Amino acid sequence: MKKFKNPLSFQVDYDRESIFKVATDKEKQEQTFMRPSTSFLGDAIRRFKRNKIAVVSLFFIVFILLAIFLIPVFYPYTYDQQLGIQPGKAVDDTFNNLPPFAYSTSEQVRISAGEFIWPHLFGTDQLGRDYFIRVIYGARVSLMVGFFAAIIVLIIGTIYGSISAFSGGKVDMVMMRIVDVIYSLPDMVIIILLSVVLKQAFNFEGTFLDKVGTPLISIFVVYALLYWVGMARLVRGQVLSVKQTEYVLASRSIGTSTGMTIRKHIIPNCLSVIIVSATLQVPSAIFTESFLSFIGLGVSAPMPSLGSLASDAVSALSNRPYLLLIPAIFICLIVLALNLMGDGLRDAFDPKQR
Amino acid sequence: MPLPGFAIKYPLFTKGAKTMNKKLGFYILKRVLLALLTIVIVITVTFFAMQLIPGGPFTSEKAVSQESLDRLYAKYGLDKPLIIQYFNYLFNALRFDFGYSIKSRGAVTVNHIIGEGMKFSATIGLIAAFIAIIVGVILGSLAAYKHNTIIDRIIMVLSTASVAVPSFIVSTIFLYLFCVVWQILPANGSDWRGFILPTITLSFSPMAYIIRLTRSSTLDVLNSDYIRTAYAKGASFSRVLYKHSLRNSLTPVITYAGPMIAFILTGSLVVEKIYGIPGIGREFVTSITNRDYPEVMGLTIFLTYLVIIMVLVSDILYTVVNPRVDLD
Repeated sequence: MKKFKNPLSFQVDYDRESIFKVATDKEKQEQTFMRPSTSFLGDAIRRFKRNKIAVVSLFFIVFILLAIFLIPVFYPYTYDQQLGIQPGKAVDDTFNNLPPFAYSTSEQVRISAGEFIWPHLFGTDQLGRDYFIRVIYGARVSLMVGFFAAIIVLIIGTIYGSISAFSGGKVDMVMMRIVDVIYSLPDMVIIILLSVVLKQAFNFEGTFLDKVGTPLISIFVVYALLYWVGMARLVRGQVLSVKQTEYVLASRSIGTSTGMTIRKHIIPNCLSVIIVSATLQVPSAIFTESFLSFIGLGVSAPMPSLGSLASDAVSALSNRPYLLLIPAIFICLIVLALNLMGDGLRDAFDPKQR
Repeated sequence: MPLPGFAIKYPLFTKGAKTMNKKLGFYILKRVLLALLTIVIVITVTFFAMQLIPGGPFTSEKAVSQESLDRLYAKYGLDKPLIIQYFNYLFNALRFDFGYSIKSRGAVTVNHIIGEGMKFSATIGLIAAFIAIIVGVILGSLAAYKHNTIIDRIIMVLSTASVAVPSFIVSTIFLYLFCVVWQILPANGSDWRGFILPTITLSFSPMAYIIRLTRSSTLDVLNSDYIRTAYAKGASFSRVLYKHSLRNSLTPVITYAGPMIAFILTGSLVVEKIYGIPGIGREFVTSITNRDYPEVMGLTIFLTYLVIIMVLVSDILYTVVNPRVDLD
């Protein structure tokens, strides 16, 4: 029986041969796209590269890191060397308080004799120490404090948070109440209190810790005691939410062992969040250290940090404001670059941003 | 026979409201107990931390006979065993009794010092908080309404940059510019003109935070369905702004205000030191260098009370204001 066809109908006529044809081999081949499969990390890197500000910040930080580790190697002066004091000679006062690119009288004599003297790029301080190398060394101390503090926070926070998330029940509740208590402390007050106490209570003379300096150790102790709680909360929340996702359920339902599930699914999905917040921890630690150094609770005497350099420069502010401005600009740029890079990393690793 | 589905549709009039109130009451009770526990822990830590410092409060003074030293110890209760001292201190501190300042030779109570310091700190802090909220909300909403324009960019760059500048650098540079170079403001806080610079300095970083907070929440609200509905119904821009968007986008700012005031008060340590304001922050730093145990402990615990109460109040307000919060 022949089907009735309305010639005015707009319905697609499937019987017409021209609409559906068997594809030729060539056409089939054209339809096959082979895109390289992208990993999570590759995806994140691609997205990070698209964020120009974050990339610039990353390059700036790499540049600063190279500078603070390479410059002291070949620079002719050291951070604690008082240039005016040389063995067997009278103290040369002309080395003190030099403006940038100026030379002391003895150096001018040597220059006129044809000798090359490395210029004091930022001048010298009131004790005749080269200011450029002190700023470089100060940036090194500040960054080291930042990175070590972030690592301490990372380790303690991650272990505590994941134990709390995995054990659950009463253990989890008690552990989280402890976190709540520490979280609601006024941090600045406790930090100042503890750094004063630790500075006076601990004595590391003779041990290898003596080199690091008691104030720096007290900063690390304060960080180890106070600042891990944010990280612990974050890790616990992340582990708990990843544990309840469909893909973990799927992986368990096809019989994957617990260890494999943790390694393959839970750790990779928590890692990005942990690394990003550890990155953002670095500028906050640098901030705290410079604050403590500024009120005189930070690094001890010959060793400079950016905060203590700024603090020393306050007394000479009206005559030589650049002594304050140089470390201040260094702090601001480093903190800003680390913040922007952390923001960029967070955007790149956030799966919701896709 | 009750209508089927009534209980689900109107939970406020039926069983749902009661469970909600019960939950809220339980939540508040839990938070208050936790706050008390925190305070006890802070008192304990402060007490034993002060014991760790070698040298008593009387060591720096000139040679004192053993007899009068004993008398001093007896006066401040330092002759009793440590554990008794601790419990005495704990119960007194919970009743807001922090004893006498040692450096004043027992003439001035710590409470008096706190009161005197708070006169300055609270004035500066509250004005700074006010400035931060007003300017922050205006700039933040402006950035959101002008999203992705040059105004938005400028505001965001400024607020991002100002987070990276430590308060001690802001205050020193202000001091240098206004008091040394231009000489238009006095350097120490003797009259009201001396309070201008510290107030502005203190409002800086919370302002930057409020700008970001307001901007992101306003953007969220502006993209939501009910704003589109309001526009579709023919509401004017100002009506949408006042009636629909501002109320919703300000909730996070209101909840931030409490902790912010506490943060400004405790964060004013260095600003007060630089500007020479006899506030609670400067008092705290000097009392530490003076090893004035009762004063250090009193100020620490007072500041903790302040922070904890502010956070507690704003958290509870938040759950009351925003019914979507999950209390478990």
